[in-house]
Amino acid sequence: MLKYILIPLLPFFGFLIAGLFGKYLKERAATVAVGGVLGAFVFAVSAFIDVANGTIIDENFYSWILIGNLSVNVGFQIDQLTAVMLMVVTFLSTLIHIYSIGYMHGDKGFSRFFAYLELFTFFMLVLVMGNNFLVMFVGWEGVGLCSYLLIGFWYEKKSAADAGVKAFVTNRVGDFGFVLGMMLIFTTFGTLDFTDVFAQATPQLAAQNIDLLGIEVGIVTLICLLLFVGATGKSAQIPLYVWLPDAMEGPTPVSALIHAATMVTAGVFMVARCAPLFSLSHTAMNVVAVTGAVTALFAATIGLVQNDIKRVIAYSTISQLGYMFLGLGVGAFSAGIFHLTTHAFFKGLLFLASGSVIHALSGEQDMRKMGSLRRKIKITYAVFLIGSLALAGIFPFAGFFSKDEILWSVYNAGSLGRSLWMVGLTGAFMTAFYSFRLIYLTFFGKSRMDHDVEHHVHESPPVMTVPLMILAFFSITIGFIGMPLIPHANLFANFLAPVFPHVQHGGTDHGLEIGLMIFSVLVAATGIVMAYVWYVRDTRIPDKLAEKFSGVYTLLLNKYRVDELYNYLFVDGLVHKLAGVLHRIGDVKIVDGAVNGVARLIGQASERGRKMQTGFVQEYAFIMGLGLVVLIGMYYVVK
Amino acid sequence: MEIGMRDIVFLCVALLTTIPCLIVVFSRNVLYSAFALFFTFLGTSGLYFFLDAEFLAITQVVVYIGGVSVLLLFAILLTKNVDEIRKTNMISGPRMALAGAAALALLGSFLYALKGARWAMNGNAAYPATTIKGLGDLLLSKYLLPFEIVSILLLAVLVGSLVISRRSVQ
Amino acid sequence: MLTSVQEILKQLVPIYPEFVLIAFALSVLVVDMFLNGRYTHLLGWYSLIGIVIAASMTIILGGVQGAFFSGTVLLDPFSQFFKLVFYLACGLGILIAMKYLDIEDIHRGEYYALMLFATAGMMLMASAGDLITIYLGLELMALSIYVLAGFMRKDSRSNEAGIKYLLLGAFSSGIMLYGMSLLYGLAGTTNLDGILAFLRTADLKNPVLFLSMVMLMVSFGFKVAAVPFHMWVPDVYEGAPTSVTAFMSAGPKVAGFAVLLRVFTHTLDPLHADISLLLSGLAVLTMAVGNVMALSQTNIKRMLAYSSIAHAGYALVGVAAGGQEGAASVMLYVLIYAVMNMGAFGVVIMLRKAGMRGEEISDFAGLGKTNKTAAFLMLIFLFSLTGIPPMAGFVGKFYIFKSAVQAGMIWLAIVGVLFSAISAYFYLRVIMLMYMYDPKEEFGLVQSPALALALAISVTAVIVIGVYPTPVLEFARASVAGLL
Repeated sequence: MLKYILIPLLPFFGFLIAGLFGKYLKERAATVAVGGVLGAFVFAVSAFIDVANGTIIDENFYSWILIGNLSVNVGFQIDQLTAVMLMVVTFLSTLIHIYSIGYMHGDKGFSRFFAYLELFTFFMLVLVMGNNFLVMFVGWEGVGLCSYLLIGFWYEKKSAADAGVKAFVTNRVGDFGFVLGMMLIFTTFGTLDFTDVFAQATPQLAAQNIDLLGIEVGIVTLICLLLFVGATGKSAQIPLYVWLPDAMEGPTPVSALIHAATMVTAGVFMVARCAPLFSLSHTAMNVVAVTGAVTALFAATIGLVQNDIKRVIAYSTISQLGYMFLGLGVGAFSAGIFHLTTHAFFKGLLFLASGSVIHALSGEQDMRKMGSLRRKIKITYAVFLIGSLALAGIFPFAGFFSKDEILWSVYNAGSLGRSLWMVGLTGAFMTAFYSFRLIYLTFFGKSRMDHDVEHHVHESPPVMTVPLMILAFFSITIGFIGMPLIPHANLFANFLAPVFPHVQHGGTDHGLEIGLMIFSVLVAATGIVMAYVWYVRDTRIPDKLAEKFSGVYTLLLNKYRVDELYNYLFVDGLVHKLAGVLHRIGDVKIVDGAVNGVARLIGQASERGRKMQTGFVQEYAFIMGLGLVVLIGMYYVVK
Repeated sequence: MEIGMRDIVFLCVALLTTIPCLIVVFSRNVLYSAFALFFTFLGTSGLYFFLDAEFLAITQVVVYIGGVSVLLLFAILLTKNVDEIRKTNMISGPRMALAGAAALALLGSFLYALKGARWAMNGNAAYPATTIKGLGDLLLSKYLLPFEIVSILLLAVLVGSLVISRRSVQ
Repeated sequence: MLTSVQEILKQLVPIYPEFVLIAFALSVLVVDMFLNGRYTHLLGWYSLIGIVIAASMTIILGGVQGAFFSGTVLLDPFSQFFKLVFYLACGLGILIAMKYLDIEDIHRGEYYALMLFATAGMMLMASAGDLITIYLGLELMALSIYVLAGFMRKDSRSNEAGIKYLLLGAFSSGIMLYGMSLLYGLAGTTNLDGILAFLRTADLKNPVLFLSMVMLMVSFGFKVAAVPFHMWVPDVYEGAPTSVTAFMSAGPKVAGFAVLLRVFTHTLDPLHADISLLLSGLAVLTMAVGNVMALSQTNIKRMLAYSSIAHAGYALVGVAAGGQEGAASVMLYVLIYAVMNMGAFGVVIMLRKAGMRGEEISDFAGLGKTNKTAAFLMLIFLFSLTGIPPMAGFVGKFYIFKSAVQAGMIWLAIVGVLFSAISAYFYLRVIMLMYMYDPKEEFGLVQSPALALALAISVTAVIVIGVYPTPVLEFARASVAGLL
């Protein structure tokens, strides 16, 4: 039992040591931090082996909140799903930690950075290991919190601080859904433990309805939809995806950690964890699938025109998360988690590699000021190419296997599935296009760098490139654990099979499957070729098109103006207006008047006695009296 | 309905209480307000007589009229710039209307509620004591603790007034 | 002779803790005279000794239950729970005040005496078995606080705070007395149990009953700062000396909830349906106004004032839910709230230095750089106030909303969760300033052993209750026993 508890605790100790003694440890803090996650990884491997040998761990540590009939324990559960997540999280986290030693070298917040990274990993591990919703929620809130701290790490940049706030506030909206879902789970099942809840999740329950403002809604559907709102917040799906692109303001290793191993995968994991519930509600599943598909396409279109190297990758993350939800939504839970796994590797690779590019270019992130880098930073170029091929879904790179498994399941999911498949395929085409647009703009063509920057271009130190190479290796090979077609070769799906309800087959028409695979690879290849023609062969085409379809182009470049819309609706509209209204109706004198009154008072202390008798107190008393009148008036309502 | 002598006296006492009360509130001269308050206290004392609380009535006269009002007048007369206070005691038109409406609503709901209410105090059975001796007995037996709390309360007030009135910290 | 003294002492046993506090208050005044303005901080420690003695007496008296002094005072687990919270609030209030009073140049013995008087008043409120005791306890508390709020004689804001609170407090007391007299008129007794017995057989549709209930609600609502009886809070909290603000936000407010629970869930229990309806309305209003208004504040004390209004709203949710669970959740909540709020004010007080007020939220800019410990403590307290697990604030909110859900008021819980989500924004702003901005100017913080002790106590409580709440939770649940 101890070794399982140590998985989250080691990073936590790392956090404590790096955080408390950072001042004395200086750069040695990194050693402590890496030790923490590495230890967690070792224990995670051990746990994985245990699980593979058939031991499912589900133990309560101590009773956290015990109120009458509700007992919530601090307890951990390690089943197949958790084991996979543990491997992904700890492995990537370790590599990112190592990489950060080089990347953050010389930064004045060095030890603070590692402390945050450790804390982030800790909360993510709590999230995946919790055996009930509340412990999961602790991790859930925790990663949100850490993301906020880490994104805003370089607080000297105003945009970074704003991005941090945005991430936190958007996540709070999602958390609101999650909390409501939890509340409903408690009222329905009387418990928050995964095992008990899922044991009670029967088709009979799914048939029960509750009245929601006059509309009959299935309880399970409502629960799932509320949980899914939470998932859209963490996993950056429409409509709560807005924080993720801005989260690029943080240091690049943080982006990698958020995108690859922690945070964004939380929503996918949660939906997968609640698969027994989701699979009871067609409506909820369809909502998940459609949201995923639409997000996949939507984010891909934005990715087509972005110029910031990290932003392109950020939108690709949103898009890829869309695929994962698409997979989950059609009942291909293990395919969704499979994509999560492969994506973790190649997305971690892409981010760290882009960090290496940025590092080489002294902090430049605009692709319009790059070009022809492939000879100067060879290793980075090579791994970037591997990552992009994986992202584009080219055989035999990792992304191919997982994306195709999802698309194949979608294709077989009825008529809705067919249309979603079309959407997914279009998205795949765009993915291939923008990921190679990135490659061509960055590594090919003429150099568009500033002279100073060009002069300093250099390959990153081994402490950064070695993790890149490791990730590149896995980006090529990891897909083979989920081999399609051949019976029993899909090790990944077989491993996860006990966790997920058996909703849907991938279909057995192997001929069709192979055909579709070839088709999708061809589609991706077309995207790559098209990107080559546009950005290497004839670089005037994009500009011409941008001019011709300037409306569409600007709309995409401005990300459909969703940020502006949200700002207008919620920030300006709701919050400020509401506060304004309150100022006007009741507090105009409190906020402004009293402050002015105070200012006057300070100047005229001698006339204090007179100023005491401002109208304000009378007004306060008047409002109290009015409150009394209204409350008395309630008599006619209640009697 | 027969209007007896008692009712006429009660009416007078009630008017003696309420009319000065209005003057207290609406007068722009704080000195007038203070004098009006004097009559309000007197009227209240009369009301206590009607409630058969003779001791309370007498105490009211002694403490409030003999003590509080006089103290108040002294305080006002010792204050600098009393004239200026007048100017601040103004209420704007719409605000007055609103306040009046709220007050009327309050009065209306009180009257509605109190109309036909059944009180526990029919007859004098529940009156614990009306005489000084009876009150004294009660204060030192049943209400001993509240009585003592009052003394602590007064002490705290004393300390408080000391804090406020002391000129400044050395 | 001796035996009669013994007899008297024996009869005083139930109010020994109050007795001790008042004795200490008086002796503080006397000693202060001899100290002549020097070594005043010793009086602080001296008062703390009094609090510790009173607290241990309360704990020893834990086994004694019943009504004393003709039913005017009750000893039960309910009152004992609240008394312990008051000791905590008063103790922390004194600890954070010592250095601060020096800086403000108002360090005088009367301060501690008034704190002790106020605490004694709150304790009487919590253990009152009679409307008269409630009223007197409340006035003892309130009068002391009025003076404390205006304690900075040279500062016109403080004076304004004191007088505003006094005027409005008198207004609310008037309403309360009216309500109490009506209740007495109906029931023929001021004894709480007697009133309950009367209500069990009375016509509950009686408009007078409703009237008196509403009037009590208004005056208690005033004390706990429920909207729309909250108008005094921002001004008074801002103007009062920060140490008093801290104490006010924890002590009197909690005392208000003690009375609210005693009267509304015990005495007026037969009216529960009406009470629940009205209180849930007030709770929604309170949460809405508190959280939304806090968004636009620039002064930290004012922001915390609105935040304290919002927290009163959450606690009102629990009162509205009612029953054992509701009452227990409120008790747990106010305890947690008192600790975390005192902690937050403790950090705010650290910023007050000669020549710098340190009350603007922007003053917190860069605190994460200049003073890591203070910033981190503030972070913990603010996270707890936001209700982020695993801080204590989360456990408190969880229990409140859970009891609301269990009482069938899911909509109220949803509204509560919603506003609690909004609240993250203004707490977060402070954290953002601390960690993501550069300090405006170099400044050291005020530090003193007393303040450090207060912060250590509160941060430990916030984390320990958050991670392992069972003992406190069980304590709160067991303490409801006296109430229902």
